Amino acid sequence: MLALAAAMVLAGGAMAAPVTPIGPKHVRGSVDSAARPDDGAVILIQNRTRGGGGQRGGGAQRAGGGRGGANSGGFNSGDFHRNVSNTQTRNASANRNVNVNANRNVNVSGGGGCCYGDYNSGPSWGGVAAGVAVGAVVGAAATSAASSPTYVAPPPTYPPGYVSPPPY
Amino acid sequence: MQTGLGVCLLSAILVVPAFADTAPKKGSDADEAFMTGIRKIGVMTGEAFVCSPEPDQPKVGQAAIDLATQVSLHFGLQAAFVFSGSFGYGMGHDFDHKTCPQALEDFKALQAKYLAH
Repeated sequence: MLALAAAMVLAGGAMAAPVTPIGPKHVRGSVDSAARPDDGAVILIQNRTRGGGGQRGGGAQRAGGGRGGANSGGFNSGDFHRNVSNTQTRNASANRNVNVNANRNVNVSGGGGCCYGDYNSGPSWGGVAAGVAVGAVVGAAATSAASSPTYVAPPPTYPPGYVSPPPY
Repeated sequence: MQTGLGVCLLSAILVVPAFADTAPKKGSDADEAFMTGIRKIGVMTGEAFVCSPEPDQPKVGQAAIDLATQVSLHFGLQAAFVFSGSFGYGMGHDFDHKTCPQALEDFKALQAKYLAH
């Protein structure tokens, strides 16, 4: 019996990966009909707990048709990730007891171009709405802050009536 | 005895993958430090656009598009979306233009490091 279990374990890796049908029935139907068990394709439907990172990877092979910028050959993603992720702590450690208004003139670009800690992180919710709508609101909202070294926060969401809510 | 052991082994094999996918991946939208950094770089790029002389602004804009493309290729569409929105925010918001030299310097360093190919 133990040998049988071990054989199933080993054989399981070579066989098709288990696919749990997730999603509406009509979608599952199309997936089932599109994937044959003998063609080696594995369809993964990942959980999307934090907003859909599961789409990553597939797009990397699709975007090659445009300008030269779509070529990912020379882009050091590991180094980029390291530098980008280090943007939070630099000022915090150096200027803990200093008025934060003075931090904007601190040079943080030394050390190989790492870290952009003194820049505003923009809207905390991701912010394309701010990027789009700020042109309309910045004149009114930012006037009082023009002489202030702190940045003005964008509206937290679309103003009421700007877009209609989704029907669900 | 052997049957019980086999059942336990099979259960462990089937259950472990269900827990293995919960940790946020590096560079994913669940990586908050990374996403904050992406927003800061987007704001910085937008400020560099505003700080640039008008004839140079299309180049800065194109560099921002190229960087957004690389972000989308390597880190997914959501990170690229956040970068692009932050770029728009950096362009549109009011900021102290005394920081322009710093923003331009940071942008050039970013461009040289990640877009020079």
